[in-house]
Amino acid sequence: MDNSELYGAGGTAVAVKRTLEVSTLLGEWSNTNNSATGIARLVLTETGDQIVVRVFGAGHPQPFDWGEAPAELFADLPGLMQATSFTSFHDLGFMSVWLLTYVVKGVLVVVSFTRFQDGSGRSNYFGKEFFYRSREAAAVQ
Amino acid sequence: MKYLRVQDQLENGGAAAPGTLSPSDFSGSWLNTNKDTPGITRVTCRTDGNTLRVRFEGNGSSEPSDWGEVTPDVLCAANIRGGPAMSFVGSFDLGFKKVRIGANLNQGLMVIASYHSCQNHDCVSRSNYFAREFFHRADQS
Repeated sequence: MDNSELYGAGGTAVAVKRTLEVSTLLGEWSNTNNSATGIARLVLTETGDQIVVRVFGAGHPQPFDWGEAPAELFADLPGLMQATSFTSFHDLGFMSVWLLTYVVKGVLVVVSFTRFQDGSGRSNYFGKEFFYRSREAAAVQ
Repeated sequence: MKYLRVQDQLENGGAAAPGTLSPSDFSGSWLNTNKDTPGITRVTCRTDGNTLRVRFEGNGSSEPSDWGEVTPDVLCAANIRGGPAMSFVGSFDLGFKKVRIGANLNQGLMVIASYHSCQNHDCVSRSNYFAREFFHRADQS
């Protein structure tokens, strides 16, 4: 594994080197709150030489599929090789969302920064949600 | 009104009151609660109207002493109905690395998550890494 994604200004992705081990992050992560109204679940998969995250927003009767975006991976310290956090940028047209995440004690903490771009009057807003690993990587391949 | 999360629907179907996010709650100097931090030592925030400017300082050894001043990419309120800005996401380009920052105010603290992306050939020995640090107002020292 030697490639990843790095975001430039405005979320434009450019390829850079990646050397982190990703097993801690790959798989499906489900919101710890069954009644969540934000993000219902995330799925991280390895696609070719990059890691992508697929987000599902809470919805009824089915969650909303945001599609995939590249994830940039990070370790806890400069000398460690196990990825324990990631960032991703989701441009959905009428809104864009930065996800800044980290794993602590087996819980994926997802902090979101949402900006609306549709003139609806909705405010940019901050969110923080918690996820448990509901499926290992092999189960979602 | 388009949405991809239940919580992005406005109650009563009405538009939120239009307005800009005031960043004034960030104004001032903030010091790391850990005086021995190897990372970010001080954050200085100033406002120019509704524009926030943030300057980061490191310890001068493992981090540059002055990261410069940037305008955050996104200011966010606590919820979709707006209110004062209580979080932001932005980035610093330090040449040898880029750092994505997510910050939020919580109970008198500024919580900062930083995602460090190596940009030069030292990346072979230094992985991308994540840090989360806490800052109190300097006038509380």
